[in-house]
Amino acid sequence: MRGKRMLKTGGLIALWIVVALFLLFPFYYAVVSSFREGSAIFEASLWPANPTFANYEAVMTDQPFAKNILNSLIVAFSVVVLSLGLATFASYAFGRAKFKGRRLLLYTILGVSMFPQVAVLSGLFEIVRLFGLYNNLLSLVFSYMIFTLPFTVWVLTSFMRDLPVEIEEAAIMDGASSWTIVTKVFLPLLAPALVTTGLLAFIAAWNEFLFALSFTLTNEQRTVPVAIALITGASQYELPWGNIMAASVIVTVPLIVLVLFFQKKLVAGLTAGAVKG
Amino acid sequence: MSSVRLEGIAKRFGSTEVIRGVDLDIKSGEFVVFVGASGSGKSTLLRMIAGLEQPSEGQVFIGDSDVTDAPPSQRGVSMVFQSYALYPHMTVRDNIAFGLKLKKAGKAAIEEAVTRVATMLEIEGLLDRKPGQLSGGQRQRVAIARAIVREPDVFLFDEPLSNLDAALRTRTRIEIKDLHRKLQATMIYVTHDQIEAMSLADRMVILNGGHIEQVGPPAVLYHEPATKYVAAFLGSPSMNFLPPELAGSTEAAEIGIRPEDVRVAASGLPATIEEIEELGETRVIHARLESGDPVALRDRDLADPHIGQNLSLEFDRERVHHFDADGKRMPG
Ligand SMILES: Nc1ncnc2c1ncn2[C@@H]1O[C@H](COP(=O)(O)OP(=O)(O)OP(=O)(O)O)[C@@H](O)[C@H]1O
Ligand SMILES: [Mg+2]
Repeated sequence: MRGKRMLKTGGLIALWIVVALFLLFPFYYAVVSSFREGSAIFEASLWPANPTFANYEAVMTDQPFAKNILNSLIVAFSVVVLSLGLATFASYAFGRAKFKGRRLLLYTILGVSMFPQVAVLSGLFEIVRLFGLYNNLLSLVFSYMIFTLPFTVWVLTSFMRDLPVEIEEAAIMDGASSWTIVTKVFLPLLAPALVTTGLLAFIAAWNEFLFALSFTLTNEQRTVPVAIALITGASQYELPWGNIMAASVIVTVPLIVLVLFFQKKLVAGLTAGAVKG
Repeated sequence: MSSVRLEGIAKRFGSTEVIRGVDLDIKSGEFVVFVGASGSGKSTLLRMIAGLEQPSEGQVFIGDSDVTDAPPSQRGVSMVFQSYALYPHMTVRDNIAFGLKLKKAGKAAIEEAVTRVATMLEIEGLLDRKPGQLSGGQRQRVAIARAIVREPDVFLFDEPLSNLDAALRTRTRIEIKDLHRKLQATMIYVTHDQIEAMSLADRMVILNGGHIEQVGPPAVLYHEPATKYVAAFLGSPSMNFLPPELAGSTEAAEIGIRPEDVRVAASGLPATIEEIEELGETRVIHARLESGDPVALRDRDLADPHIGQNLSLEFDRERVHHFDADGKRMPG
């Protein structure tokens, strides 16, 4: 009996290790490779023989990589703030107000996110040109909201719907305006959902490549994913793996920090609404 | 403290008429209770007084002013909800103070007001807790405190006690009555519990299918119900309705007699016991008359009643209610 249970636990642990290895090994290998120099990078060992920071130095000096990171941060934060701001008020309307065409509008918003990015690329390019935003970070903030807004609106709308109507009515009786209800009463209650959707929006914006490649021209305006893809070696026959790995590690760290920082809220947000509380 | 007047109120949701032609005068400082079956429109009527729902027809007056189109916060009313509806992320103190802060009252004034109502409701010790850390009864007190602190002219309660257990319900009921005496405020209270209604009300309003069946003090409604509906609605077990011949009436379509007004007598209508409910202070006996009509009676005196036993029953003549074919009360 007891042996059987131990066997089961042991099997479960083994399974977890396999899954973890499978998920984490590529990232681990990237970290290890980023500390290798020159041809050492092609050694198939699990530990760098002579760890070095040369790749990191090269990444930061060969191109305006710090500027690229700053660009990415600006774009991602703007996208998160704008998306959450707009989505909060939109979800209040969708979740609470009754108006004609609400369903249609909600499904239209969802529909927008179904088009592959390439399909809207040329049209978006025209719009970006029309507004004179080419090679400007604003073009990225604007275009990223195409994919962040649909899911932030949808997730927040479903959360908003679950908030008890009587709380809203109590606030109305207390003399609260719609603005006060959203900002003082609903926003705090939506905090877990905001953190979760905000983080997902941040990651999506941080990692986006196609729009960033298409709407920017100069090194100074590039975001991190594009900058990494365009890292070149000494000759056109050399792909500087070491630099690329170092750059990848640098840009993954902020995401990990963010997730760890919001960990508690994140779990609450992912599971909230699953059960009636 | 204000009077409340409803004139020709009707409410439709789409094509369904939920409230029809309601006229009602509530005096300043009165405690009025709306009772009625589920779906009779009690909450809807209350919400129209609150301003959370707009009447399709008619006017709402609070004091002398027509507030039909005024937003809830400008009507001088406050409401206690069935689910308490406290703000979960705020402390008890902030919950109570929220309305005052929105009114831009001064810090000192707010603090003073919160302390005053918290003392009145004995929740001073809970001020720094969140609603999630309170019991149902404590949440109810906080909800009442939040309603009181704004010093409204009219209090509205929508089944505030229905989430409490029986003992707490009885106690809070007395406290609400006490509060009414202390504040001298107009209170409108919705419940479907007739005991709660009768014990609290200065006047009861009985709603049936969206219209008012009868308005009056509990004792009047109980002893002189205007319609068969009211007669059947109040009292437990319900009034017995019988063919008029049994009480020697010729004009009435039906007579009614309450279980406590039926007596076991030496001679009278023969009946057989079918069921006995022992309630401690009394017992309810369900019997069947020779005519086949069921009759319930309250009895304390029978030595050892048993099912199948034969009895003779007598009605208290004074207490027999007469109803016409439309279910209206006839002068008896
Ligand atoms: N928003 C709404 N839309 C459509 N119908 C409604 C709406 N609100 C209430 N009703 C209907 O109006 C009628 C009266 O409802 P109301 O809530 O006033 O009843 P009630 O007397 O308070 O009942 P209960 O004792 O169950 O609370 C019901 O038939 C209900 O279905
Ligand atoms: Mg109701």
